[in-house]
Amino acid sequence: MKLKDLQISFVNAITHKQIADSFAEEVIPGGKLESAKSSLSVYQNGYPARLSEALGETYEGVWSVLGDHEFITLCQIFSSQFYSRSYNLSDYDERFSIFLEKQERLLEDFPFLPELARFEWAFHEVFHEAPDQVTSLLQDELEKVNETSTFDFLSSLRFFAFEYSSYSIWKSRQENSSVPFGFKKPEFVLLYKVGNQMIRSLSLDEWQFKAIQKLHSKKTLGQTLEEVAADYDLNENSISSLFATLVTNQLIVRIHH
Amino acid sequence: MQNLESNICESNIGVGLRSPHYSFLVPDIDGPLAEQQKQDSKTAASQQQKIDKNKTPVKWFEALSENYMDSQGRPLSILKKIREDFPVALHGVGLSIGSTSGLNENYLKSLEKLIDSINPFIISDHLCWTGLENAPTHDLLPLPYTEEAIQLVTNHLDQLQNRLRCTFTIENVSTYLRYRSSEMTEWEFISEIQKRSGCTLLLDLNNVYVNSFNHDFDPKTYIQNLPIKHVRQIHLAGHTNMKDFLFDTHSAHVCQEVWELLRYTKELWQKTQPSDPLAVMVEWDDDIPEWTVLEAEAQKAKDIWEAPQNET
Repeated sequence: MKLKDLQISFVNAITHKQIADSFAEEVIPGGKLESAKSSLSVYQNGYPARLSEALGETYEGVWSVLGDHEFITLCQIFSSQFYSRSYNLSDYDERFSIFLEKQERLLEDFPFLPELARFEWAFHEVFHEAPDQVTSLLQDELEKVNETSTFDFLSSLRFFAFEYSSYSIWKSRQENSSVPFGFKKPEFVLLYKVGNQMIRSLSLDEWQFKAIQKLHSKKTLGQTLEEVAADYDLNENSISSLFATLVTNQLIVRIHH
Repeated sequence: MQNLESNICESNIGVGLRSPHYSFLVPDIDGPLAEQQKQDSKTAASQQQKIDKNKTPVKWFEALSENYMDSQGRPLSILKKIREDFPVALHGVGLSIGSTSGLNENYLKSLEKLIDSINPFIISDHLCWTGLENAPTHDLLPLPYTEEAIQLVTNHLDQLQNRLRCTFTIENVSTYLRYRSSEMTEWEFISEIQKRSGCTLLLDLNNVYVNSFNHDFDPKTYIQNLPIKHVRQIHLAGHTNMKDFLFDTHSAHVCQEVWELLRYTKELWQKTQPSDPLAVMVEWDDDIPEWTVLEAEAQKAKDIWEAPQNET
């Protein structure tokens, strides 16, 4: 059997569980394993186990909500439909949240699962990103801020407007507690990385979240405040609290006047 | 060729670097989450202090390349920190040197970048294949021992060594099946690849033992027929007895038979009158024990490796 044909047959045996007769004839079982099928099963069983382990590492929150049995079963179904595409096992797999969107039975009880999974994938991405080299903004820099100022933010910054309380659920993922009764409350969250590889998450009021999103999209301070004020009641305190959020959490890396 | 000799470790006992031991090895590094900071510093404090370089038998670490090569995050910063104090070998599981799909360009770029930032004293991966293009299986799959496979692997090793400008090291793997089309023994296959490519060998003694059980041969015959002077590194690990076969799980202590193979390998290696140290290490990947248990296993390897000849 040519090496290329052997390798195609082996991959098919692992991913599609299809063992071609010609390939089975080529295999001599190891140890006291009795057949090609039983020796190939060592490799066939390893594939979903490794992919499930990788999913478990990334989607800790989804695992905690579903419990061991439901999560492992779901991982096995997912891995039989979505094959790994990257040499790096930890890249497996961004498509999990899309898969969760189609799990109608689970969504009846846990409608937040897809957005929780999206957050966990983002956490995985931020974890592997290089942190920005942030220097504290000088006081005179801040004093120059005016209506035309625009801002550069941390490159790792991600925005999450959750329909459900997915952030609170994620935060309690290691506590073995049941899903909170009031999980239908929307949450607005920032995820980012600062120096020394530290990942931070921040829950905000909706108006602050929207304002930071607008600033992040390079709208000027004046334009941002005008647009946000159209939807929310803002006052002097709101503006200074927005600034405190930006500065104390080190979200801004540069100011353009 | 890149000169790696200047980085060769003085003593030869190492262990596999695994994340549960990070806080012991680098206690002053923060956890990945802001809220974990306080908790982590308490954990580190409870483990008293950083590893004592002078007292530990562990003189170098082997890092799994894939855990660091696509990341600019915390794992890489920890590895760099450890590299400040210890020599590091890079060991991959995803190169797939025996794949008919060829070497993956993205993989090579990432590996090159990691090599540049870590400056390892050994760069290794397995003599196997792990899947085809866009269809990785994340497993170390066996090659048939054929001339066709020798040519393929040798071509890939040539590409790799020219590109990385260093001698690459390949490791024998545990297998649970063989192929009828094989034309030679596993040790003949490895020896021929070494001879044609000029690569060096990472001899995994647990894998030799596992295969000797699974494929019914004498492990000492395997070792004595290898070009022992080209062995650069030795792996020691535990396996699991599945009754029908031995499974390479790296989840247990090194078994007595494998310690015996270490003694035997040492005898053969000393007869080659080596000029460079041979790097011996213990790897433990599943059910990872506390650092002190791993360190004790490394001490056992050191005792065997450094014992006077008549005591081995």
